[in-house]
Amino acid sequence: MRKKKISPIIIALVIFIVAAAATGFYYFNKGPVNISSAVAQKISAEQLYRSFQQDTIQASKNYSGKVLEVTGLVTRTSKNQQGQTLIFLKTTDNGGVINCTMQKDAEVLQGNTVTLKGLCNGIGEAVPELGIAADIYLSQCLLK
Amino acid sequence: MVFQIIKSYKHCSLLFILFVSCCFAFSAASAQRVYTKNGHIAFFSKSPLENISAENNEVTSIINVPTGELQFSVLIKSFRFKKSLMEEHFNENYLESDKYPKAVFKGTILNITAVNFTKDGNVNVQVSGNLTLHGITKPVISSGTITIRNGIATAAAFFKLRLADYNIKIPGIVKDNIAEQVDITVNCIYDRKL
Repeated sequence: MRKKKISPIIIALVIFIVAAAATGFYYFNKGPVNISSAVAQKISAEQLYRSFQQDTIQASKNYSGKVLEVTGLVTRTSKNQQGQTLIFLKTTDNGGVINCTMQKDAEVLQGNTVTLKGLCNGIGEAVPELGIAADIYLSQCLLK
Repeated sequence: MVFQIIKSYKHCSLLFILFVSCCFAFSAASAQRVYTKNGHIAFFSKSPLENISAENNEVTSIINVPTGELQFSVLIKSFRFKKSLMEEHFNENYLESDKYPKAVFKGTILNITAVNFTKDGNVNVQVSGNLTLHGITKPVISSGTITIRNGIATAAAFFKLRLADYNIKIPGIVKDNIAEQVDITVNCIYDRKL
């Protein structure tokens, strides 16, 4: 009796389906953005803040949701409620800072100039009548 | 005559003391605004197929102590998910964060007089206000607690939010993965003062 041959089309189809499912599974379960390997736009803290002040809509298009490499002067450091390190970079604004949440603890001194790579989430809320300026948020930051 | 002068002088000094103390009380009250720019808000969606949670540590919130006015502002893009695909769908398909980058709640703590911001303690509060999310504003009423420890206030609240109320459409294919009502947990430490 002759053995029935499996058609190459079927083999190709099976391979294709398995590959598609594996790719789908990979993308479905993919973790957060890998900041260290992401391509980043380079910008100074002051320039970034100025862009949002001048044209928030355009700046949001250019920077929000993007990985940025921001260089600036450290005005203050702190911890957030989850114990993550926060680094605040000076801007041209009186009060508004680049509010950076670090991935890991970082030893940074006030007055130092640093370059941080992180995901920009956009500009927060200002309450001018109370003298509160808006911050620009960067999260999952790494020290360069 | 001399006696009368002394008497009126006494009155004047009493009035003066009263005036000065009023000024002090007023300036102390008007200076009392507490705020944070790194508060915490989380959401949780429970469904038979999948539990989805996200956290945001970039919440701006302000309490105007004398009036009880309360404000929260949340950047939608600041919510972090365990999976990047969830984050992408959340931003691009459901909340359309490019079009509506922020969610804002403006309201009042109805029983603010029950909270003594200078004394350690824990008070249940009622909050009423309007939440603007995905371009839609709806009234929200919630209960919460304000805890004072060493002069620092922490506000905590829990409420449910119906996605359909804010015109957040979930496509049929993932309907079973996302709850119709999601749990919102607020926890903000107001470590800064004005």
